[in-house]
Amino acid sequence: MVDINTYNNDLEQARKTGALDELYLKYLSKTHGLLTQEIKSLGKLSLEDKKEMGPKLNKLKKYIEESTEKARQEYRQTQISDADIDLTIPYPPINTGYLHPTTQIIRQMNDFFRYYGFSVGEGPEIETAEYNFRRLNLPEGHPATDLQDTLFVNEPDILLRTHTSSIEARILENYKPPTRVVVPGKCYRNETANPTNSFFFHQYQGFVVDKGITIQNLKWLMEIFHKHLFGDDVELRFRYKYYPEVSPGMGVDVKCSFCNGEGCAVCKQRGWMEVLGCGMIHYNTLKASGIDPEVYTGFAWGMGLDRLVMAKFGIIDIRKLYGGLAYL
Amino acid sequence: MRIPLDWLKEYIDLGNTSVKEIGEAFTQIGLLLDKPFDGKVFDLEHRFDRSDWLSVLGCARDLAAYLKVDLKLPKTYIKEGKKPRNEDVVKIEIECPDAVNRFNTRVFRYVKVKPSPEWMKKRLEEYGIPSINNIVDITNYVMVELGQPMHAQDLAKFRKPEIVIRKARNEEKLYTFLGDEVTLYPEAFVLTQGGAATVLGGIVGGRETGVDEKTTDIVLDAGNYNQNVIRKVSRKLNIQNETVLRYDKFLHPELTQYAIERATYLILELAGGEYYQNVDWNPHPSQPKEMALRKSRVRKLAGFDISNEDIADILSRLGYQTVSRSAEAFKVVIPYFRTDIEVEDDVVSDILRINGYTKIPTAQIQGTPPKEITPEIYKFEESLSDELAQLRAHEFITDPLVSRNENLAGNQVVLENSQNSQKNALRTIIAETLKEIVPNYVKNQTDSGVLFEVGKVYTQKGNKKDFQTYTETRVLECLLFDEKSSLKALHKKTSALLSTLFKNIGIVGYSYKKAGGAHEANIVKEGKMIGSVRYNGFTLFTENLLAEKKQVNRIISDVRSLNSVETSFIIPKNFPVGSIIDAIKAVSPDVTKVEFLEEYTGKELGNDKRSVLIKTHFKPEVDQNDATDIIDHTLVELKKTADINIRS
Repeated sequence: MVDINTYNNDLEQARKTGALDELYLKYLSKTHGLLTQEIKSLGKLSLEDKKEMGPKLNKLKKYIEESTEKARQEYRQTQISDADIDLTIPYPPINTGYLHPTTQIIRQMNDFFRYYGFSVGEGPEIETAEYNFRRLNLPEGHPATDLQDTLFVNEPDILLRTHTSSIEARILENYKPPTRVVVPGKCYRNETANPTNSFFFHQYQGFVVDKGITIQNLKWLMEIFHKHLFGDDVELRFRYKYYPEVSPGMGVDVKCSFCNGEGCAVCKQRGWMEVLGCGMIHYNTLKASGIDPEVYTGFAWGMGLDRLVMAKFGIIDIRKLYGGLAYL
Repeated sequence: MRIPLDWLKEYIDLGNTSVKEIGEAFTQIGLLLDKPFDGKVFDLEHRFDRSDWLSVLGCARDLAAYLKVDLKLPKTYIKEGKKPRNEDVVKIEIECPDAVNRFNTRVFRYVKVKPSPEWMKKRLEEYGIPSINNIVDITNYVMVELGQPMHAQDLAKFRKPEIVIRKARNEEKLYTFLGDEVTLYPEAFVLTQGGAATVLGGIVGGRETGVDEKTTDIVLDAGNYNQNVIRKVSRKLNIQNETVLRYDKFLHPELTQYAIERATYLILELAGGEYYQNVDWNPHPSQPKEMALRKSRVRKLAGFDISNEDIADILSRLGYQTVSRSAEAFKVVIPYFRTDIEVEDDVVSDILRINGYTKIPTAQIQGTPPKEITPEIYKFEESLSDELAQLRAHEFITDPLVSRNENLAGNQVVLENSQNSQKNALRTIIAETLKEIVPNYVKNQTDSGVLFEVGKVYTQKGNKKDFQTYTETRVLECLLFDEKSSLKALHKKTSALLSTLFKNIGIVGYSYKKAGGAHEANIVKEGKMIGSVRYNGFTLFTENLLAEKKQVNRIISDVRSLNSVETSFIIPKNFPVGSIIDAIKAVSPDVTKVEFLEEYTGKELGNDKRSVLIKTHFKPEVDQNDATDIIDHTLVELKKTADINIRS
């Protein structure tokens, strides 16, 4: 039988060297522990011997378990106090994951609109002129097509979508009202590349169609959305603005926080910064999508995302935003 | 549109209204003050819809309506001119009626060409047009004042008294009044006399018949043309000027009459002479457009009521003529210059705009939110990004526009009109644009990392005109870099990352198949390719992943001892480990998992062999003997394909 004195000697040695796990395994390893072997061989003994040895071995097992654990804790304590750890060494931070700034802003906006019952919509980036222009009340040759220089894949019918409104046209066609949808998405225009304009950019679009929707609902949603984006103190300006796919159209500006409306370089001396364009969905757009404009009304808004992202993250060149970044 | 304050005052008594208030009023009605007032001129943003807003009078009209002040209209000469002798009539012949809607002309004789009066010079110069002489200035003045471009030509320089408008000939030359040579093509149309082109129709005047100080007799024209032709031709010839700016919008033919009457008044006032009637070519006189305006429609869009008196006042100030009126409806004639008015809602828009957007109250949207229609793939891709971010990866969005690659001809989506040769096609793989991020990290002293992008790749095959031939494939691209580690170590990281991602999102039962020749292995599940892996990254097709993913439950509440066996296989050096794993799985459904632990190459194995340690996990009911049988059976199967043994 395992001798308790031998074990105690082993324990004393292990206390010094810290080999307490090894000690534990020597006696209690499931496959070859000295005590484990003895416990396993109990079955071979006579009933009487079993009765005598069983409790002794169990007691010894308990003693070994408890004493090694106690010694382990004591050893660790001594280790910590004696340890040669220089706690003043500043190790570099662990690298963590990071989502792209545009994704972060899109997520933030989606969360806001999901709370108000909006779904997220999607659609193709290679688009037809039908959905990109005609369904949105922009017939071929309309002067307002100059607002967006188009990149054509096969002129004049197949192009890269110039705005996310094309998805509005597709969703209105495919889903019966009531509809509440937001559309974050990539868009493309034939622009001269510079720090604020790029061929490739992001828009955030949204629209609501239902019975009884009025311009007052649009104003309400824009108000709470801007408060969400810029804080409760934000001062807004609503003004008429033409967009072909809406009538009446509306522009929404926020008072420049840098100059408090006095005019500065940031707001191009305007005192206000334009955030988005919106309006009541055009009669012809609803009609072209198979929705009766005498029954349903709706509103839509669209905004460029990149400038907002750039302002929020201090990025000064849109080309950096989509190719020139690295994260710490 | 630039509006000199001094010019604006010609039409509106602005009283004590400050320039700040005027700027704000313009902004409110749709003419955003683009640049701060410079003491002379309001620089207003034009949104391409309102052709009448390319005139000082047009902007003044809306401003007056908003400020509720009277609009003073400019003076015109509406009396009939002298009847010319037959031989003095300048004949007008239109050979391309598809390009010309109206061509309104008058002849003036014995005019005195001299400098313009100071007030006119000042206004034109403040607007941005240099003064030339009184006749040329009058045409420019009326263009800016009313929005109708005009031309005056010196009759003495005509070979015979006629203007023929015809299509330009291919390669036909014209010298503009500025002396530039323009090479024409048949989509353009020209005003000619004696066969020679004198004016590029609707775009720019020529120098041959220009008015100068010796001129005494002139023919004045105000034309209305097909704006699509002007747009196309001016863009093709790259000519942008004040004339094109207006002619490529929808101008109404009626405007030619108002403009020519105004110009007549100014010519007689400032240059004297006599005015003779001439041809007004107007084969299809347009009829006034009537429209019904329902109060119910105003309420439907606005959500509140505006009194009939206020509506009537706004409409009248904007130039609408009310034909009839009841408590609930108006019948109005749309002013001819409002070519932007298409539907009743546009009239409602005018009413709300002039009534003031600040007066519109706010109201919460009522009703139950509709059923959610967010596509599953959108949510799934969000969760993929989240998983990778949790696994310490950095997300990027890169520009999908790349340089055209001739090797991909026929498959790549190519742009027809890109101005930039670096961005004239769409990417076919994301790795191409994502790899360009790596140097940003290296420059920033970060020598290892994991980058990813969830985006699309684009391909095209077949007839370019057919929309269906364009494919947008959703892809998750992941790229690992480590400047210090070996390629094998980098592959270990890549593979571990991929396994973790699959484990977390619930992709099980996939296998790796070596791709033919390429340094790449395909990831296959039940015969379907869900992606591919390289030593430093992987590409996953997110739609295929979504279809294959299973509910993940990582919680084990019934903890049981599981059996496993570790086996060293000695295999030919180029034999893929993926095939061994596949073989073990294929032998028995009792195998739950097969793990690669390590590989070993050593002299005792010879140059052409390596040993790989594989751990096979079994269902709890499989005992040691069964497990050994399964491995033995696998070996028999493997031996059929290659020289493979188990190390004892």
